[in-house]
Amino acid sequence: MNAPTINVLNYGFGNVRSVWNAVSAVGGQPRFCDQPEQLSSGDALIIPGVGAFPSAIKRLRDNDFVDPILELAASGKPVLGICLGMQLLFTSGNEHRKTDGLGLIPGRVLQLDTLPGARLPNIDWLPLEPPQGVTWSGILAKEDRGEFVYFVHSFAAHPDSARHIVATARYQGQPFTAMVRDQNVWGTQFHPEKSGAFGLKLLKRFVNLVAC
Amino acid sequence: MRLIARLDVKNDSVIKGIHLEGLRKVGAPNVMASDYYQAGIDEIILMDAVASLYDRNNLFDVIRRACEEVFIPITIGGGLRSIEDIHRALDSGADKVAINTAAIHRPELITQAAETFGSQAVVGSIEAKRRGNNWYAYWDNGRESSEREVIPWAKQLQAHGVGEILITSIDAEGTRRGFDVELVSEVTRAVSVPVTACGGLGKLSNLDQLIRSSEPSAIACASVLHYRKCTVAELKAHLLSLGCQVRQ
Repeated sequence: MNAPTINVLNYGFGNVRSVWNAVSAVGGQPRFCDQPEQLSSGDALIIPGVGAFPSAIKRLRDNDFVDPILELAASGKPVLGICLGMQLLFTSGNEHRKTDGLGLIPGRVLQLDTLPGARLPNIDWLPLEPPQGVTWSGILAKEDRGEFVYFVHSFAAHPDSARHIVATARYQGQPFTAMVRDQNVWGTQFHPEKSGAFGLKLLKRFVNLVAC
Repeated sequence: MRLIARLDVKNDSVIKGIHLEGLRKVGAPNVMASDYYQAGIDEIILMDAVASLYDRNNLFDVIRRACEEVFIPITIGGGLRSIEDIHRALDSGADKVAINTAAIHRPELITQAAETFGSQAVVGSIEAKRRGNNWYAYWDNGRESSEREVIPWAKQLQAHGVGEILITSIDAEGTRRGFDVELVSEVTRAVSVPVTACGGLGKLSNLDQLIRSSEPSAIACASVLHYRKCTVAELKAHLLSLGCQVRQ
């Protein structure tokens, strides 16, 4: 079987080269997409992103990426949003001002709750935990509990439904959303492409979803 | 707590000095970055030690190659003077840029960079030298004094939009005699962005004093690893024993 083609959305937000390298390292065939019509071919889509929510969503709209992304998600192909790319999957974000997101997962993106002594952005390697009552099987496995992944963010997602939360991590002791899923749409607040061997393992599992 | 390996690069070699002077070659940047990654380091800083003197940006190729095998955050610093330079650095695969000299001359570059690439991509790098009861920010690898006091300068960098501060003590740097704990402590108190403490780590016990009297978000080290005084695993095990949450 040929290596699955993984489209990496290249819209001017985020370290796309590192995502490209990581996908390639785990056996995928990465391809930069900077034109909306490129999205219809390919086996899966990764939406990277760092920066601010309003300017990123504006760039997606201005470059006519929104409808092709929604169509792709509806087609059942795997979609993975990373960091800001994950936040954009939600109904709305509150960075600078309230802005509509892609609406693929119902919920809002709000600034991290802070206690005295807080430092933002939250830049840290943190262990992943399953939400209460959840046993991991699939893209995260039981033995992945406590694996460290790399975060850099000031905002976090609040899905309307807790069932969309796959994993949490803690900031100042309080859990926040680290990973989400609604059917074929996945999102990680952390950077799997920057999370060492474990991050690559997760990306490999994502790439392998294509074969399923 | 993140543990960062700092590689100062001159031409094609990683070099190491004392007080940022008297440089000695210690290895090849890509080999060392890859070795530290395999050993479990959390992050890499690549600093071009001569770029701000000669206007060279030869680190982009090193970054491009490093990103193919090193899957942790990489910061590049040294000689980045413009939005275009920063764009090239990030485009090469760096996650963040560390800016010192250009920030001192044109603080508005920081604001512009943060607006363009996001605060998380912009690290304010301060090279501090103690004089009397105060610290002053230096540029060009500790050769020139800006006459800016470090603490107000750190606050100003935060106001301009940096997402992190890298504080290097020139006095402690390369000595392996311990951190300037007071400096780290004052800077962490002055700002609310994460602060990386750099300069002076030579043995495990240097960490005790640092962790007891200040709250850095990360520790950057060079000599201690380059000269194999401690391994990454030993440093992390010690940080864990001091109550820090570290990635194992």
